Amino acid sequence: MNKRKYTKTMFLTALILISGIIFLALMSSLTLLFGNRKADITDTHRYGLKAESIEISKQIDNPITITVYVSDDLDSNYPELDLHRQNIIRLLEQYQNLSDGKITLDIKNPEPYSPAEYEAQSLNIRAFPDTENTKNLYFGATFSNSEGERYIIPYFSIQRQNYAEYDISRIIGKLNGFNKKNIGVVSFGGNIENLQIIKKIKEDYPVKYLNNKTSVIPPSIQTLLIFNPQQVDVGFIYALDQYIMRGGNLILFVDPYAEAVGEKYPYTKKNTNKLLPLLKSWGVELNEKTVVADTKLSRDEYQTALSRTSNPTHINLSAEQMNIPNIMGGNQIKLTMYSAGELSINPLENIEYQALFSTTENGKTVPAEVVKFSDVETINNHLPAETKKYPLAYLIQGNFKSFFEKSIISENNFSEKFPPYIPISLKPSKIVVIADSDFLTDETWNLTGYQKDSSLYDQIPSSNNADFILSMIDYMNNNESLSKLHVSYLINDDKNIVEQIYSRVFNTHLKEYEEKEKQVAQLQSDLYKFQQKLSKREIGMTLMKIQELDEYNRRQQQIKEDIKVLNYQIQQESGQIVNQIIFANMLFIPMIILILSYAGVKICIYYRKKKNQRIINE
Amino acid sequence: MIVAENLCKDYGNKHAVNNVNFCISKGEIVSLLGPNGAGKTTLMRLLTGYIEPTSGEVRIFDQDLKTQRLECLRRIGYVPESGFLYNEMSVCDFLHYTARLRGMTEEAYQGNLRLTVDNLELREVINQKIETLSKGFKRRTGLAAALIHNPDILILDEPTEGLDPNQKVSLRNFLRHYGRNKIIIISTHIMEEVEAMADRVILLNHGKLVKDTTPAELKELFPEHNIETAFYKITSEAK
Amino acid sequence: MIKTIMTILKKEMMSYFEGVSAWVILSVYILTSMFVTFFVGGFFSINNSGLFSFFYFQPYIMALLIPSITMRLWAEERKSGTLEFLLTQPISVLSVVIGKYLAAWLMSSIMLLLSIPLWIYLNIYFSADNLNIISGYTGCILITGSFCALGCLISSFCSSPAVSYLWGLIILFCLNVSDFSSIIEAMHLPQIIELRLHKMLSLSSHYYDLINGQVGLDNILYFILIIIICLWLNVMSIDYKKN
Repeated sequence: MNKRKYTKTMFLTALILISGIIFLALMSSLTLLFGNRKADITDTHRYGLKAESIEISKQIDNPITITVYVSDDLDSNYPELDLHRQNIIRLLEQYQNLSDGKITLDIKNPEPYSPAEYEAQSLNIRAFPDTENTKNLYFGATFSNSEGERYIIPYFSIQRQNYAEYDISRIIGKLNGFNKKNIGVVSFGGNIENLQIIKKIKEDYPVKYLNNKTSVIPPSIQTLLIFNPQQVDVGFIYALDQYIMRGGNLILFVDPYAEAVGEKYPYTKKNTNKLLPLLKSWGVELNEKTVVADTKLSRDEYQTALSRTSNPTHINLSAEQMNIPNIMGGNQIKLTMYSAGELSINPLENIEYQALFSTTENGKTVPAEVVKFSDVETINNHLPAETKKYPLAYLIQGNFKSFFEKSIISENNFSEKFPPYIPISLKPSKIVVIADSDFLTDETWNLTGYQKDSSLYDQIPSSNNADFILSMIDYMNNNESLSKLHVSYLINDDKNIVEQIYSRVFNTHLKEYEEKEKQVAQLQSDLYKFQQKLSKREIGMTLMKIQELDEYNRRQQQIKEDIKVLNYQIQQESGQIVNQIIFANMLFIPMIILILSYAGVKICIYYRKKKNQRIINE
Repeated sequence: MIVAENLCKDYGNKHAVNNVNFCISKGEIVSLLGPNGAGKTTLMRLLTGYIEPTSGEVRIFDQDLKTQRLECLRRIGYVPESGFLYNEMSVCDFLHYTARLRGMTEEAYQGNLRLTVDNLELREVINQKIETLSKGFKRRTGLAAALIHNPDILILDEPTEGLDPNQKVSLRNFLRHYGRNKIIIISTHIMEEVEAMADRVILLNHGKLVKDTTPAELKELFPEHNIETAFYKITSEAK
Repeated sequence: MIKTIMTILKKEMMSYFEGVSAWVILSVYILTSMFVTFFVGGFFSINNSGLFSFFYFQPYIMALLIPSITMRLWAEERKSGTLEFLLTQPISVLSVVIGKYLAAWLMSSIMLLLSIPLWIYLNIYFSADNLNIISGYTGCILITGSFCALGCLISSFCSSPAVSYLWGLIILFCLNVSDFSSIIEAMHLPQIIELRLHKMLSLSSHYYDLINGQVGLDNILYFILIIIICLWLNVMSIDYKKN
């Protein structure tokens, strides 16, 4: 008996061992054969490498080492990071597989007090505590090439998971024959150094700040950025003209109403400047008196959770409005503009003009003064009936003629003060004119901004304005492969189910809501007028007037109370929908299916019995 | 025709069936006799292909059971000793299931069903669940499943166990009738059954074939005693 | 052979649905599955276009329920003595193994069918990534296929359904939770190879690839390989046990 048991155990062990070996052998050969090749069938291609990244990985000629510092027990402490970690590793492996041996991937586990941990700390890989606060965990990476260049992603933040590929591809691109020319920045107002976009540019290129009174733009500047030019000196115009003649590249932000500045100084003079004639000499005109609006693109803006406005001069452009696939790569793009100006072109010979993006056919213009000094309702009232597609940015390329004539030069003695006058471009220039100088302010595109000790890898943009500019700079600095990458990752504005339910319920109450909003706006405007009259002493303060004032306040309170009730109602209705979904999917539908199936089975049994009886009786 | 040649089956050191040879022809009803543990059930399992012999071979109508297992099994109907019925099924479903496993067509099944149900008097319980049947009906349902495809060889392990005397008589009559041009092998230790049905007796003891004879010859060997005493004497001699 | 497989499949399906077992299993499945999706998986609080909240916990729910589907398949046959009847019919052991296995797989796929209304709901009222959901369901069907194959194998070794259920539960849970990391770490390989091995062997890693819409041939073949090996072992164990 014992011997039988022994034989049985031996047999089972042998079987399991054999099958284990077969399984391992087959799986290893499968992995060798097919590697980690995956077909990404998600509709947004969440995990597969984009064409631009593949191109960048294939073109590596300078070997790159990627060292990932990832704690083994990351997922046991933070289960939500498990999938993210898998995705990052898979992403890096994809780069490695594509690079034909040029990328070496090294994964290290920085255990407490191990050499790997000291290494991670010395490289500024960000440490964060485990759930019990007993040790540090790490999830970052360094990228270095054989020439000693090194870039660091201190932490692969889960909030930035949609940008992981972009971040990695850009670093790989930068480690591999990246042109690092100087970028010049000229501002005519505002603290430009603090803009997030400048910090982003600084990560990749040396940035030089130039005075707006400068009369010479140094030849070392490859690309010049000019923000919101106002009250420009003739000397600067000359410098700019000659910069273009030398083949310099320019990105120019102009518009009739720079809101970021305008908000601070409501009565600032219009941006009349001497730059416009220079622009005209390049074949581009800006109408300073009008602002472009588009009701189809207007951006929803929430002052509070409840009050939403839709300003037609604040617009969100998406892929359909873009005409820049060659530069921007992918088609997942969203740009935001505040009060853009009206651009038109008067083409010159041998110069190439390309509208980069435009409004829809539903574009309209509003007087700039109205936009500056009125509320949304007034702006809407001023929208004309006729519509047109308005271009909002142009890329101009070619050899230009100088704006200045020889005679003017000698009259002003420019040639004595400045470098020798060049009448015709020595080499082709690229000029981008964007009809909005708020395009780069943080509020326009940056969702999170920098925290005190945060890095670029903590930023979650709300639109691609910065990427667009970086892409343009890459394009102008001949880093085309990188310029294509920028927008090929997606903008993740997916809503969770509760938000979707909420916005659906909200939309059913939208009219009611807008009505209340209008009432509040009307009341506020009436109140304002009333108070103006009081302050100008057009009317006297009588008991009746005080009562009238109280009545205004009371009605305002009442409407606000109504809005609160409406909001509560929306929340209640959303909750009901949530409960309905749970009830329907957990109980109602399955139970109906089960009851019907049960009845079906019973009927089948009944008929089968009948059939059996019939066979026997035949 | 069933031929067993040098048939052996060992379980470890134990010889459950040891070098058994016999040949059974069409029209014979053979009774396998032997005390408990003599190897009757093992021999039957060997003949039905449920287990494989350690050595030797079984040939069924000149086909080797090992190499042409499915062809051989198609000609065999086998009723194991007990508890081989699916209790949750009705009698008719069970018979239909068996017929489908045997690859019968629907027409053949329906024809055979009526015949079998009538012969074994199962009509009244045809739609009843097996678990609700009496022991006798259960036994007859098992037999019906073995007969549903009208096999050339019927192998029955203790077929009358649990039947009342009337049912026993009618079953014996049926088997005698059925066995006229078929082979029936019945394993039993009830001597009365041997006398009533068998044309031939194969006596097994400790896995060995100790006697292959007819009931009449068995009786003649010990004329002063009945067949039961003969069985006792032979098996104790072998011991 | 196909006819035999279909006969066995039909008989097993009948025994599931004509008794109470199927109805109990289906009800328990949909209740636990939806409870976990809505209240544990945070269905409402994340973007669920790929039904991630639903798919994420399926291996655990399947580990709980599949042993109850497979426990009877062989253990009950052995316990009630019907195995002898079955294996003396003119059919091959392989076809019986496949028939029984397919019945279990079909039964677990029917369980999954009960979640289809949620998919339809998502399509009608919210945004759904249908290809991702199809790949999730493929993952689910493959993982239930593997669990059924393992359950059948375990059942073929046991002589009582209760024992078979318990062993099934333990083994399937271990398989879900274990990523073979202790074995792999003991080999002291470079971390990149460790990671690859871990990915190659871990059931959850292959399953998560599929529910994330990352379909690789290795994921599908992994499950198919488990199924084939388990069925082969099942045939071997039946052959071994009857002799």
